[in-house]
Amino acid sequence: MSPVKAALLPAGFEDMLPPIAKQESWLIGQLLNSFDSYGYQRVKPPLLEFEQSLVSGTGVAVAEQTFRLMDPVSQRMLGVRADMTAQIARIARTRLDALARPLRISYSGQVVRVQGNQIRPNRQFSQAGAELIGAEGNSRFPALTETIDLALTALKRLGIDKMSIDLTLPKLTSYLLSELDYSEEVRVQLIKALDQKDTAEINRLAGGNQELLIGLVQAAGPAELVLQKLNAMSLPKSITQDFGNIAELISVIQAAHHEVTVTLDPVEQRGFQYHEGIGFTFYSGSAGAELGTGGEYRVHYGEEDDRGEAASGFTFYSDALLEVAQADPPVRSIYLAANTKAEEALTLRADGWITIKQLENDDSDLRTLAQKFNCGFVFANGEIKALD
Amino acid sequence: MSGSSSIRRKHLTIALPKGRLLQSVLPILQKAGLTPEDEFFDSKSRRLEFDTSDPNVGLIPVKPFDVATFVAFGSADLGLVGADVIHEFGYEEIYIPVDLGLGHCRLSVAATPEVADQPIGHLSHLRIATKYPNLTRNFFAQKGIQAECVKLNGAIELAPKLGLCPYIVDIVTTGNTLKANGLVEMETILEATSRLIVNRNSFKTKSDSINHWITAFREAVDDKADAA
Repeated sequence: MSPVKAALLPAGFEDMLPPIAKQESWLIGQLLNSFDSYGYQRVKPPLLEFEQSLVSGTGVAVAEQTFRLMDPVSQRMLGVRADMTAQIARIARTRLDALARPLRISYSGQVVRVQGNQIRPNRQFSQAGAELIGAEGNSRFPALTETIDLALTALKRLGIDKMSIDLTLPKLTSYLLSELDYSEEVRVQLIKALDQKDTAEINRLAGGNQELLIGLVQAAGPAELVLQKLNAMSLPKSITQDFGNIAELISVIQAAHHEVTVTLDPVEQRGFQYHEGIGFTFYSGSAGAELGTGGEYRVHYGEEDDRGEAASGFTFYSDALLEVAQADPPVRSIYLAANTKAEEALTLRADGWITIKQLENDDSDLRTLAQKFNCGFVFANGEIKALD
Repeated sequence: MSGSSSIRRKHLTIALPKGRLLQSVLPILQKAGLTPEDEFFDSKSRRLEFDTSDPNVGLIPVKPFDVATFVAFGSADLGLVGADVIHEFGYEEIYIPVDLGLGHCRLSVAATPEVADQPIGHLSHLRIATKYPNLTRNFFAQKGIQAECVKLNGAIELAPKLGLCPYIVDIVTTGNTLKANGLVEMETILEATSRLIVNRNSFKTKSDSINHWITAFREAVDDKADAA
């Protein structure tokens, strides 16, 4: 045995072993198949790129979470991607700029983050997602519902139960606070207090707007109830304009995915640094962490790209999905005696067997060997025999 | 699948602070409609989890400093704990929806009178004994001072007397303990009361029942305030 300390990995990194490694690639494959079936085309950006392009645009959200290193070739700073959305934005606005809109793109890949957090201690995990880019004006809402429908359909294919989707209005807090005319210092403190639903702190800071702000924070939960509460509050018109869309979205989701719980938390902002319009997060009652997140945003790339394009999309996190997805379908394994002919093995594999071959006939008992290698069957002298 | 050690649990688990704070939060718990089973009050009981009058709700009494941790990691859905502990850990996974208005206290800097009289603005570094290293470091960092914290778990007032460090940061309720140990209070870092905290994931996935308890606790607090 090798000494234990040689196997030590840095915090947040792990060797994924059997059967989890296969389970992960199965579930990523299932997700990508779902994305394919809705006409989303795959792209595969690199693991590393120039820091500047990784942390601009939607990349600002993960700038602090990005590993940097110096490229000895270009002598410039490189970043290891901490989120793939910024790369998709770059591809959509540059290389795929000439493709017909709306553009449907999907991706999966590993991301690395500087720090894990309490519920997501991993610093490396897989993302898989889909983005619908360039649906402007009246197409925006159908684009949003398409991406949510795709996401829920893909999750369902993984056999996840007790699913819920939490809707939010990512720009509501900052918009409302700017309307209410607070000093920069109070504004920053209020954003934090709203984020933590810290009613005591909101009470202390709100200066006359307590009822409004605390009312907003307390309006969170089952979507229809919350929407009723919000409609009963006297909110500025500029804020209520999205409520019609939310109401319609709730009924669209419930019509197609009646087993999914829809909740609404209008001040939720976590994970929505660059989103606007409507944002959403997927949960399962059985998972400790959120399964994925997404929403509407504008795709930008580079400083001159001030117009950008409307986009709607989402990303799933493999570590949370692994906790709740069903196991990948089992495949029967068969142990082949050393004298099995190549054609025989080929036929068995073509029939869907996993074959594990004895390398030399050393007079060991085939049944014992089969058991040792988790095979339920033995193949010897042209015959398949079950172990028990 | 991986990593999910799912022991069969009650629908909701509430973490309560053991010790002094427990006595003050029990009436609120009762008023919110939760009566712990009898064995909960038996100091000889070795059990760590207890039933309540509501078959869907269980209680886990833990050290006050651990309440926030149990809730942040989702081992408990709700918790009752002081704002000092919440802010010391700064867990992102916690919501703080109700101020229970109990256990009023403050987190303060204190020192012996001679030390307290000396200005600290010119210093770049201070050594401080405390149970709250994060809040202490942040507070002094705002002043441009690097606080080297010696983490103690109790009897913090002894530290200046025995020469461990000139300053302490600790919870002050009446100020009597400081006085008895010959220390004076210099500055307040934080005013604290106890709060109802909620795990973020539970809030999203069990929103019906969590909202029910948030409302119940809020009404219990308002009731008490009206009665006072």
